[in-house]
Amino acid sequence: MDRRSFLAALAAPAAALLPGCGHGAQSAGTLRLAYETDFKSLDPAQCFDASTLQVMRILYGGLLDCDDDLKLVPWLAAEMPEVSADRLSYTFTIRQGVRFANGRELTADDFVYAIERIFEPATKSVGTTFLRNLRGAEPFGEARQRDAEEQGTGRRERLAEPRRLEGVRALDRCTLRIELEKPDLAFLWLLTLPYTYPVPREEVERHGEVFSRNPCGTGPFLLDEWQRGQRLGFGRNPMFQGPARPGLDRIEMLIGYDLMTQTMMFERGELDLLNIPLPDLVRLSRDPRWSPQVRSLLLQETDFLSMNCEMEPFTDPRVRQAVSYAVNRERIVQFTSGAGIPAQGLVPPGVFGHDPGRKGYGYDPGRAKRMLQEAGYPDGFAVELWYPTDVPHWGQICQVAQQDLKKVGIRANLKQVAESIFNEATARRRTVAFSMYGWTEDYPDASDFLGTLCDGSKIAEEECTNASFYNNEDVNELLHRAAVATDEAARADLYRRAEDLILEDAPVCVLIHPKEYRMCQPRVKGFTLHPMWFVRYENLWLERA
Amino acid sequence: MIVRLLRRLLWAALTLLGTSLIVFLIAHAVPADPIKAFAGPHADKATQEALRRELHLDDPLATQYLRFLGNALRGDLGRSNVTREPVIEAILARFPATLALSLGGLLIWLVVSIPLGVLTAKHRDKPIDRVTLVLATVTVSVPTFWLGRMLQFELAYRLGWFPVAGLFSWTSLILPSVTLGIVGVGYYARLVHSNMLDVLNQDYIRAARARGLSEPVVLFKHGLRNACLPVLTVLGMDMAGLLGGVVFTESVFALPGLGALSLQAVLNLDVPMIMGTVLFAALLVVTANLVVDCVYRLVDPRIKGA
Repeated sequence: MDRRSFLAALAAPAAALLPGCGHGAQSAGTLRLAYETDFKSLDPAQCFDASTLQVMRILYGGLLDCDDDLKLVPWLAAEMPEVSADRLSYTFTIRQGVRFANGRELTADDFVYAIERIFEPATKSVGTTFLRNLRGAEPFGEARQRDAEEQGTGRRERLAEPRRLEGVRALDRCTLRIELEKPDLAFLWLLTLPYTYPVPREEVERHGEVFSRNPCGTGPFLLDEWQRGQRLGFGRNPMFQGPARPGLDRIEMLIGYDLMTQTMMFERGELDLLNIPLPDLVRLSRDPRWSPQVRSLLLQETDFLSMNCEMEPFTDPRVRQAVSYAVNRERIVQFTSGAGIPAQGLVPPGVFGHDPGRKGYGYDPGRAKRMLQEAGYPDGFAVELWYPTDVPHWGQICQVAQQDLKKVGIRANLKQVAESIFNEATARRRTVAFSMYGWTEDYPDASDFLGTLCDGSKIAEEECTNASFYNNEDVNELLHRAAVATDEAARADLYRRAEDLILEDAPVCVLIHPKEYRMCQPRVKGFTLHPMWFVRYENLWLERA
Repeated sequence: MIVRLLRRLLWAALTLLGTSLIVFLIAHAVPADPIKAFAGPHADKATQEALRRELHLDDPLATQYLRFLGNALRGDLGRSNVTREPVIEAILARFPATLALSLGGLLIWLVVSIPLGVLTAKHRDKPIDRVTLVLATVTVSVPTFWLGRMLQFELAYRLGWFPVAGLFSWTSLILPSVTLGIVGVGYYARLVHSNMLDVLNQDYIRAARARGLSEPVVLFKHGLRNACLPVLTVLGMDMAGLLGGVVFTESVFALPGLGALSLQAVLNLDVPMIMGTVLFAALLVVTANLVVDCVYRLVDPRIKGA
C-alpha cells in the first residue's frame, strides 16, 4: 500500500466522525499517556521540540493548519489568504466568534501582538529564525534588542524605533495583513508553526515570566494541572468554538517514564497510547492482541553520516563517495527492525522538492575500495564516528555502518557523547570529522533540508547547521535562486539540481528515512498518525466499555 | 561534648562548601553551552545573548559562584535555567518521595540484615550460613537498575502484584524500596555476622551465659548491641551510597524524587538545579553522619565525654 492510500485508510474512521457529528456513539473519558521528560515551556513562542508541538495544538491554534495529505487548510483564518501578484503580501480574514480560554474574543491584533512578541528578547523565542523575511523584521528585532540592552541602565527614555513590526498589521478587527521582504513560496507553512499562534496580551502581561506555565489559547483543551516532573492534566476548554467538539473529557500526561516502563504499563492497560520502542516492535507487531493497534508513519526526516569537508580525510570527494558506496542501507533497515526505509537523497518523500525517481548510492564495497585507493588510502584509515545519546537506534545504525566501513578498510571508532556536547561540537568548525546526524522537517519544503544543511554561504565558526561544512558555489547559487522563485515547478527543479550536485559531492552519506511506530488501546478511536503533528488528541475519543 | 559538636558542624559546613565548589567547577567544565541546551537548535545569537545576560551567565565564574553562595546562605538556591521555577521549591516538592523511598530501603536493610546476621553468626558454617553467604554475595554484586527492572518485569508487569511505575499510592513504593533494600541487605548481614562472631567470643558473653541468661537475651541484648557499633559507623558513610541507589531506582520506577530531578538537570545542563540537588544531597549525607555520630554516643557509653 502506498503512503497516500495508507494515510487515507487510516484517516477514514476519523473522518467519518469529524465535524458536526458530536461524537454521539462514544463515551468521553480520560486519555492517559506518558512521556520521558517534562515540557520545558508551554508558551508557543518558546516551543521547538516535537512532543511540545503536539501539546501546542490542543491549547492553541494558528492561522493555517496542515491536513493528512500535507495540504494547507484554514484554521483560525476563515479561508485561505488573498495573495498579491508579487507574492509579497498575504491578507487573512480571521474566523469570527473564536475565544481564548479566558473568554475574550480573538481579533487580528492578537496575531500582531504574538508575532511582534517573539522579537522581544525577553520572550526568549526561537521563532525569529523562521520569520526574518517579514517586512521590517530586521530593524524591528534590532530595536527590541537595543531596548533590552538599555533597560535598567537609565539611558533609555523611550522605546527605540521602529516600535512596530512593519510587515504585520491588523487592518480591522478581523483582517490581518502580512508582508514579506522577498517572495517565499514556503512562507505559508511557517504560519502552521506555533510561533505565530495568537496569545492574549493581558494573560502574558499578568503572568510575566511564568506565562510558559499558564498557557491560555484558543484550542479545544486547557491546562488545569501541572505538577512539574510528574504529570500534566488537560480539561476541555469551555470557550472552544471549533468545527467539532473534542471527544475526550480529559488528557493526563505522566512524566518521567522511560520507554521500557511505558511499554509495560501500556500492555497492562495503564496507558492508552504508546510510542513503540524499536526493540519491542517485532514482538508487538506479531502479537495478535496488539498488531491491529499498531500504526506506522514514514517521518519527514533523513538520517545520514555527516563528513566534514574541511577535515582530512574527507576533504577529498572520492573518500566521501567511497563512504557512500560502502554502507549497506538495506542491512541497516533489517538490523534496526525496520527503523525506516533506505534513503536515496536528502529530501524525504512527502516533502516539496523530493525527487521520487532519484537513485542514490548503491551498496558497492568493491567500488568504494577502488575509490579509496585512487584517493591515496589503499589501506583505508581510522576515524572517530560521533553519535549522540538521545536517539536510541542511532547506536545500532552506527554499529552496522562501522562493520560495513571496516570491509573497505575504514576503521570507524564509535564515540557516543551527550546530546548537548554533540550538538555543540558538530556545529563548531573543524572539530568533528565524522558524525551521525539527522534532520526532521520544520515544514515540508526542500529549503528546510538543503538550505539548512548544505548552503555554504551560511557556514559559521559556531552553531553551524551545515555540519559537513560543505561549500559549493554552484549549489549555493541554486539554493538562493530557489528560495525566491515564485513558480513552483521551476522552484522544484532548482532544488532537484541542487540536490544532484550535493549528492555527487557526497558531503553526507544518506542512510534512512526513519519511521515512527505508535499504538493505542482498542478502546481509543480516531487514532491516526499525522505527518507533521503525529498525534492529534482533539480527534481521539474513547469507546464505551 | 558541645565543643566536639561545634567542631563537627564546622567540618560539615566546610564539606558543603567544598562540594558546592567542586560541583560548580565540574558543571562549568562540561564542553557544552547550557543556553543552547535550553533555547534549542534554532535560537539565533541575539536570543542566546539575551538569555545569557538574563541568567547572568556572562559574568566571570568567580562572580557567579560567589553570587550562588551568598544566595544559598539566605536559603535561595536560585531558579532553574530551564523551567524558571525556584530550585528550592522543586527540591522540596520532590523530597518526600525520595525520603519515603530511602526510609523504605533503609528499613529493609536493617530489619532483614540484622536478624540474618545474628542468625548466621549463631549457626556458623551451617547450611543457613552458607546459603546466606551466597545470597549476600549475589545481592551485593547486582546493579540496582538491573534488579529494579527484573522485579518490575516479574512482579509488576507479569504477575500484576504491584503498580509498574509511578507514585499513585503507598503500594507504588514497595517494589522500589525492596530494590533499594535488597542491595544493602547482603552487605549488612555479613557485617553484622562478622561483628557478632567477634562479640560472641568475648568474656562478657561467656559471663552472661554463665549467669544463666537466656540465649535471646545474650544474643540481642549483650551481643547485638556491641556488634551494631561498627554497623552504625558504616551506615552513616553509606548514606551517600543510598542516595546514589535512589537515583537509579527512581529512574526505573518513574518516581518523582530528587534522583529523577537531578538526572533531568544534568541532561538539560541546568546548572542551578544541578548545584541545588547536589548540595541538598550533600546536606543530607552530612546530617546523617552527624546523627549517626550522636546515636553512636548514646549506644556506646564508653565514648561519652571522649
